[in-house]
Amino acid sequence: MRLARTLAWRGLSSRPGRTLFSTLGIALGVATVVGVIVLDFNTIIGLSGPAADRAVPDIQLRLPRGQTDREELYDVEGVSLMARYFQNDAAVRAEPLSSESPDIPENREWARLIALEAKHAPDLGVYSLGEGRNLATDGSREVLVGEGVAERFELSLGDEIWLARPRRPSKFVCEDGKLVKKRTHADVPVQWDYKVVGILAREQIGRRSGGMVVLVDYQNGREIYAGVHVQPLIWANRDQSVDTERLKANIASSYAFVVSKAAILGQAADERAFRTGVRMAGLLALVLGMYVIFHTLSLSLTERMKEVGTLHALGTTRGQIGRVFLLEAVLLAGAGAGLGVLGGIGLAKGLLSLGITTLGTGKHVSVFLIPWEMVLPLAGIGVLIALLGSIYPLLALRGANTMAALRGDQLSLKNRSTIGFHLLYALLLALVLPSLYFVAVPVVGELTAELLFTLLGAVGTLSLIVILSLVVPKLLAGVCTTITVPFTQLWPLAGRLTAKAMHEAPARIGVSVSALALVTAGLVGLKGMTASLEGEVDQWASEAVLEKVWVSGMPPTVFADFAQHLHQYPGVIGLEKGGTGVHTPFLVQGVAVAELAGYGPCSDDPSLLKKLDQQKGMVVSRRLAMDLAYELGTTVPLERADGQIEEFTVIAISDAYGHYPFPDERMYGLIADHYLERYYCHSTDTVEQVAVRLEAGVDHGILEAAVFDFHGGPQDIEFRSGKQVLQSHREDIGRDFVLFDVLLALTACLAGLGVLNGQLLAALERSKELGVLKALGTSSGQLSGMVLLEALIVGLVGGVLGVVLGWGMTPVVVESLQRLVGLDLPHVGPGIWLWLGFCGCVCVALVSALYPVWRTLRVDPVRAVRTG
Amino acid sequence: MSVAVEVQGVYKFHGQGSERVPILREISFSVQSGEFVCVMGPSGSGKSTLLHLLSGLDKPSAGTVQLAGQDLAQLSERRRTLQRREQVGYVFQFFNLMPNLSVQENIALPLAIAGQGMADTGRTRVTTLAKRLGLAARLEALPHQLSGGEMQRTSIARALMGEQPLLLCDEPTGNLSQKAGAQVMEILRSCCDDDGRSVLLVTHNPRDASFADRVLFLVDGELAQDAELRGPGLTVDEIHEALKALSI
Repeated sequence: MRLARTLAWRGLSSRPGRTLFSTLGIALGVATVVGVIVLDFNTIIGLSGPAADRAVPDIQLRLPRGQTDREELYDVEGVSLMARYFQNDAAVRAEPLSSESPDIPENREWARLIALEAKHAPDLGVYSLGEGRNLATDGSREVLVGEGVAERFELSLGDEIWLARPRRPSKFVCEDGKLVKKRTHADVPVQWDYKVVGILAREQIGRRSGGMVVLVDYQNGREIYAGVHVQPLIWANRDQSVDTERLKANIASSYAFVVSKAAILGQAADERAFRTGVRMAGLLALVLGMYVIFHTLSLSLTERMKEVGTLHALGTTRGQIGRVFLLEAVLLAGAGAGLGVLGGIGLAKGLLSLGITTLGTGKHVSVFLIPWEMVLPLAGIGVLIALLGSIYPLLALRGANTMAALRGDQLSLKNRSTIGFHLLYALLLALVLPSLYFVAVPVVGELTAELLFTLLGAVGTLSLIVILSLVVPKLLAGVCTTITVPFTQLWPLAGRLTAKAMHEAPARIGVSVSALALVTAGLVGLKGMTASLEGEVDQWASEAVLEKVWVSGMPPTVFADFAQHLHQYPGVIGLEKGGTGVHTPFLVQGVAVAELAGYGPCSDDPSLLKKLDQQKGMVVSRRLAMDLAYELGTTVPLERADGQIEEFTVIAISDAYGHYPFPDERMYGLIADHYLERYYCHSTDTVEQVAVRLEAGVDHGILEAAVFDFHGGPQDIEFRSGKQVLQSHREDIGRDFVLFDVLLALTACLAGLGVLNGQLLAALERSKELGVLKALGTSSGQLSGMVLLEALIVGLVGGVLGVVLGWGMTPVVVESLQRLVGLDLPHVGPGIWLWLGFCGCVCVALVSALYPVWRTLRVDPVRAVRTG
Repeated sequence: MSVAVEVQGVYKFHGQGSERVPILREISFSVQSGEFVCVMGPSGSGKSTLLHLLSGLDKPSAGTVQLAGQDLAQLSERRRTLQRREQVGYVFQFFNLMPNLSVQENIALPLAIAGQGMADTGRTRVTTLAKRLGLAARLEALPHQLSGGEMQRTSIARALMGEQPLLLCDEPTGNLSQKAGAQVMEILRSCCDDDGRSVLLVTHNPRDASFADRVLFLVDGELAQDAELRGPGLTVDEIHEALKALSI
């Protein structure tokens, strides 16, 4: 091992360039993928709050009228771990009430009573125990108390406390649009003694109330509230194997529900697609990193064949020599993976500090945690694949001819063996690595047929390129050599030497070309996809925003008067009320029905106005309809302010009404404003903001004049046109995809490293030849020209291949996204990015050649001609 | 006196079928312990191939090569390698030093290959060899910082470090000045005289051959049996005469 250690270490330290760039190759690949995963992890944790703070389950469901138990929910796909639940106040006492003076306040504290089925409570993950155990499931009177209660009564496990519901004061409820004072049960409540079996940890349930909380079994809670109406709810968790849209679609037509933000953050179809895309970019980087190291290790063996021959001639066994290369691979892979992990963590932190997340840009995430359980396996995969990459050098040593090596001949393996190794590499990169990757980093959401199709398509494209360059490298090298011919006319020496070098090293050329092609294809495909997304926004905007102007910052304004005033002006078609919405669980806004008559679906079908106004009709936006699978005629149960369920019917699916830039929500429903008043006591008579629909081509100045005329001056009133809204949406897309640009830049660096490593090793391998050329009077310009010409050719071929591939991939990517997200995406194409991608590819290749040029010029002609 | 290496009826062909080219034919000779044998011949006569066969790097197409009494063709590749490690010190025409290792480390390389560290005994021996070969001041230098003579002396020191009984030298002075070449040859001679090692030297140079006890001539892959010269005290002129007689 000492020999291996010495030679491996010297081998690495004496070639700092090769060592540095090989390590960087692995490090960049690992860093990208680790960065992506850490970034995604922190995005979800940071935007939804850590799991430790979660005090509600994924879903809270209200049973429909007439349904008293949750039996039917068992058939709903996507819902799991259902537990009945309610919460209310409870009086907590450390000793029983005296029958003579039942209401002595000194011995009593108010706490929040959580009644939750003991059987499922622990698995819902909404509380954690500081000490003690969970509630028994046999109905025993046991209680878990919050820290506040425990401290107040100096409770410890096994102590008893007495719980009772409070005397209930009268309260106001919304009934038919009026707040009504309701009398409630006023009898002296019954008290029950409970044994403290656990004390809740500070986090989760009870955190907000300072630990003043008691948690009992649902039936025990009902006992405490015997004789009082309690609205039963169901707490449930989401089945992680079912996507949120399918879950919501399954429950939306039967139940009023609230899905916790934490449970669905990053789980919407577009968010899933984005996150999966980011993960795929990480995989691409990892593959490229491994691609670089495979060939570095292989080429490194070729370059050092003479050393290998000498060692063998001196009595070193092939096993010992193999250990040298294996140890080098271990050191490179270990250092690369270590650096990659650190770099990835730094990358994630840097991106988060810039507001770049896996759910778009401009989001503030204050936490930073490292999911080691994912990071370490990823680093391990990087090391493992890099080590598997050293199989080629190790096996090649077996077939190496020592006599030829002593003469300084090139390593020549039998053709069949070479193809075998390349097939092995292709399998490792295109199959084993993606498979291991998806085991370590599961896909986001449900593995649907569409997603599988998309992933297979992406991995297939990767495979195509990898296999092309590994299995038929001569094809790419042949193309490159042919392209060199015209350059030979211009630069005879450089041209000929370049053609010869490329002809003799097809694997090196193949790898460089395909790495560049992959990144270029990725860039072109990505830009084609974002162009389609922008096209989709354009389509949406043409219906939802383009002919509208949003007026905000008005003093409280009587809507009816304001609308009447604006209708006096030419070109004003209708007004939509702003700020009149409730979340139940999606945004429901109130509209003045008559105002919709002049545009949108109500203009085409006036009967919709009556349905909307009198028959509890609802207009839903296209994205909401898609998200919750609403169709015309679908019943939508909405939970009223008093907890009752009110059913509306979908009468139109359209984006023509209801969009507001703040909040910028594309999933909403519209109901007549009088329903909003009746069921939610939400006053809609006065408004501070409106959207005004104008006829096409109307000068916005007229509207501004009309508004100022009504309000007697500009005051702080702001106007925002549809075009501005559209522009900000388009900018949002650009900002959201900044992360992809960063990842593509990293993969471009990797591809550049591939080119650089190949050329660097070629320069080292050919140092004698280059030295002799220098000795014979070849100028620095000619030598530089040789390296740069090769880079140019590789860049040109990689660029063309990448552009063609990216151009061909774009419709497939758009189609896949359409299937995954459900958006109606137009096929726009990458446009100018075809050229930019091509030029970028050539530039990366040329820049990558600068170091090899410098290294080539440093070759010492004296040394080259003096030594063998 | 024991036999260091014995070659019996060795043939070596390259290629197969109609493209089969004979490199060595009917080669038989032996080298005794402490004997200095030189093999001379024109380029392409098979000298290097013969060295490859003697060291076990290659196997004969026919015949046997017995190194320290072991028929190399009968051994596995690993055993042949170990036999070479134990029995043969190799000196190459182009030195073949490890470019990343210092002179000291290159000299100590056989110890590392044998799995031994640079213990005190190893370090003392490296120093002794370096002094003997005039490399004491260059121990920390890297190969590219050495002159040709220094590189070859390092290569010889490396070959001597393993204390193997047989030294195979493939044109060790081919890239050296006359003065440096003479120094190297004196060192090799002393290996026989002082250390009792056998040396088999392949060379074109009659001056080098004059250091040998015996000179064999290889012509077109065959040993010119009747032209063998025996020393001691071979002169350069004698060797020139023999070469002339063989039209070499």
